[in-house]
Amino acid sequence: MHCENKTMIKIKDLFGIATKNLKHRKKRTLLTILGIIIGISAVVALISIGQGMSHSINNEMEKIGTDKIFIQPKSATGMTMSAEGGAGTIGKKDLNLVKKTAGVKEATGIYSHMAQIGFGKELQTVYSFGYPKKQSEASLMDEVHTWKIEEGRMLKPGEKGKVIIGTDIAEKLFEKDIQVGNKINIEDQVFKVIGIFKKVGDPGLDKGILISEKEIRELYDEPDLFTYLYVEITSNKELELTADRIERKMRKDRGLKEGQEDFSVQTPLEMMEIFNNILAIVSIILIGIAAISLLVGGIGIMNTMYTSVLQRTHEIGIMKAIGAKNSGIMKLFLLESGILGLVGGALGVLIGFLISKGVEISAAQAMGTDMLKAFFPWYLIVGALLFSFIVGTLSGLLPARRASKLKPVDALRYE
Amino acid sequence: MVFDFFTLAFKSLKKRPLRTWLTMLGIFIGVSLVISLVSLGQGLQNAVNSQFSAVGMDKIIVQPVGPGYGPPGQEGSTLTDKDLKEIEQVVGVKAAAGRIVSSVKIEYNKLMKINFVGSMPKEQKARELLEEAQNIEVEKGRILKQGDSKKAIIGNNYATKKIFGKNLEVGNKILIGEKSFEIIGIMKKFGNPMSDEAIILNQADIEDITGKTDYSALFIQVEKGSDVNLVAEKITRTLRKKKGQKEGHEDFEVQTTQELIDSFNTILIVIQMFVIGIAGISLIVGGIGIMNTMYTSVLERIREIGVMKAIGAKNSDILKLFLIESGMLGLVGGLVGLLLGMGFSLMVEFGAKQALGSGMIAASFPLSLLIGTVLFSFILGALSGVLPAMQAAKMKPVDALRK
Repeated sequence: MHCENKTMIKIKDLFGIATKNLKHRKKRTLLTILGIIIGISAVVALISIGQGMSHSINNEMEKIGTDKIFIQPKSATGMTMSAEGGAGTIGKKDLNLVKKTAGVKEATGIYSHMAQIGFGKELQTVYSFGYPKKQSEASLMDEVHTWKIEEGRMLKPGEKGKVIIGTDIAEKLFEKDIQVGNKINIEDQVFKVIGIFKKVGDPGLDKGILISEKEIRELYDEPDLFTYLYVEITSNKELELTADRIERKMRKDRGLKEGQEDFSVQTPLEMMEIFNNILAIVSIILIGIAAISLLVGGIGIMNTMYTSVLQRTHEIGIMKAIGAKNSGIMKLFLLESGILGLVGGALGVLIGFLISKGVEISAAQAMGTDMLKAFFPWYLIVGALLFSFIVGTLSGLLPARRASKLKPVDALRYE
Repeated sequence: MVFDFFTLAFKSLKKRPLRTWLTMLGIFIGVSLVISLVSLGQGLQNAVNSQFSAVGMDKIIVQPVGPGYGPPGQEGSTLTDKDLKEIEQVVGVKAAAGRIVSSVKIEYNKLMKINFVGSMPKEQKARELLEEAQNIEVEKGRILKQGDSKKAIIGNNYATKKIFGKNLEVGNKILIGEKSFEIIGIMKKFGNPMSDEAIILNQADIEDITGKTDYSALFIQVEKGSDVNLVAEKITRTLRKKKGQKEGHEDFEVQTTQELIDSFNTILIVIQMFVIGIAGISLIVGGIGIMNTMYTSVLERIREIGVMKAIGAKNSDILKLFLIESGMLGLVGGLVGLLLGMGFSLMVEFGAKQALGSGMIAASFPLSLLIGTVLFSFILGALSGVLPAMQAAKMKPVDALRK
């Protein structure tokens, strides 16, 4: 035991030697680390912003609830269509059909139409939505839309001659701001503004108005159709099952085969998945491009280490002559390059954190919503540190091997 | 004299081949990445611009502006026949055509698809305008004529098995919006799936199927000699007045072809800048690598510098020597990176052609890009070498020799 200690260099000693060497060539060490800092901070900032975005969207979806199903007519782009489109339509008959499906607690439909609204002498085009008469249906719609009132009060189910308007309509659309209590014209009929929605960042709602379903149907002479159906189910364990049941029932009712549907039944989970997939692809491309700078940084480490081996050939010879094993030399150089990576990584995480916080703050100021929140889970930090250590060590592998394989005699003779 | 500098620099780079290659490798990677991104982005921009230009520079397009993206599919409910008539009266307008676009059920071979149908206007002048603006040409059969009823021309993709599992041919009947239509023509390939899967019918037929009478877009041709921008301005004012809207609060948008191209290019450039900016980070890291190598090189050659100075080399000579050395690192790195990047984007182009079947992604290498890259990488190298070279130049000969 005692004997072994003599020939083996302890890890702590190795660490000491490695840091001393790095300090010895301060400028080179700093420049090498700088390469890693830049790469890691770019990657960390991109990941945390991307993750933050995906989190806030998923939170929104979860607010709507995992016990909801949406039904809408299909259109050419696979996107939603207006109720009056030429493709599939969804009407009151479908709503009743859905309500009678097993597992469905409540269902409601929303009809929306482009509306010409007038305030003062100006005319503007906005979206109008119809609010159902039945209390339970209205509550379901409140839940799905997560709309909140900023000023005034919410529309009561069945209330007539009253309108709630989006923030953009109140503040931006007209020369003069619209206040609660003002009267506006909707398709030449007078409505009293009783409430203003809180900004949600969804242009459809921020530039939308809500009136009773009866009135919107009268205004646009549309007694039957819906733009969307919203369904609440009894147990969120049966989400997929119930969605499937609804789809089959509607298909049968319309005499359509599978794959021929002119409507689509979606769950928030599916919508979340679609969004997450798109975001993941964009993030991966950007992070991949940013990660290439890490590769370049790693090459920088390799270069520094080769230079270091060359300059310390004599020293390596001495270490070997007094009994250092190949593995000891190898460890020493690997540790050195690993430290370069790790320190670069630590500083990179810090700077990446600052960058994404900066983006978060300026985005909040520019857009007025807190949609973009930087996200810093512990595994991102640990992962980035680990990764930068690995990049450092890997980059040091070849130089370290060269150092360990040097013959003591040759090494001592060098220079 | 300058030649001597180059040989000296080259010799000292050759002395440490491993270090030189690793340093340049950093530049290869950064340059090739930037080159391939720029050339592919440029290619995409060219492709789209040429499609826009085919519309012709004497055209103005009026589109409704939705309040946002809100519930989609509701675009186009605010431009009416009355708006069109109003525009036709504007001085400088030669012809105006309205177009209805709608999603419609299309059935054939017992399969159903939902796709876009577009309308052809009633008047002959307007038809010709739309044919030109939308570049509508048939490959087989004939073009839709005034007064044709229950006849359709179809996008090129319908002529393949892709859509209905069976090639559609001229003379076939298909169900559009549950009514039977005869196919009288197949359009030439546009190269984008949206147009290649579109169907064109006469306006009366679309109104009949969809019940829609509002236009999704108005196309306007300006008379020869009239200023397009001026006419566009007049149209904006006319529509604004009719709708009682104030400036900046319009619910429609009047754009000339040039403006369309510009606004598209702006978006593309912003995206490109962002991506290239991220890619550019690796170039900075590569530059830092050059700086590092040069510092090491100065350190190793202190004695040499001392000797050079002792035999009469000026500070400026030493500076030049090291700057040329680092510039060469950048230059060679840039040249090789350029070749790698070109190869890479040609590979992407080839892959995209195989996968998409369209020439939309064609790498483009303008001369300015090639020269710019080489120049840039030389400057990057030289700049990265400035600090180390200054350190070398400022050394006192005595100190340098003593080391």
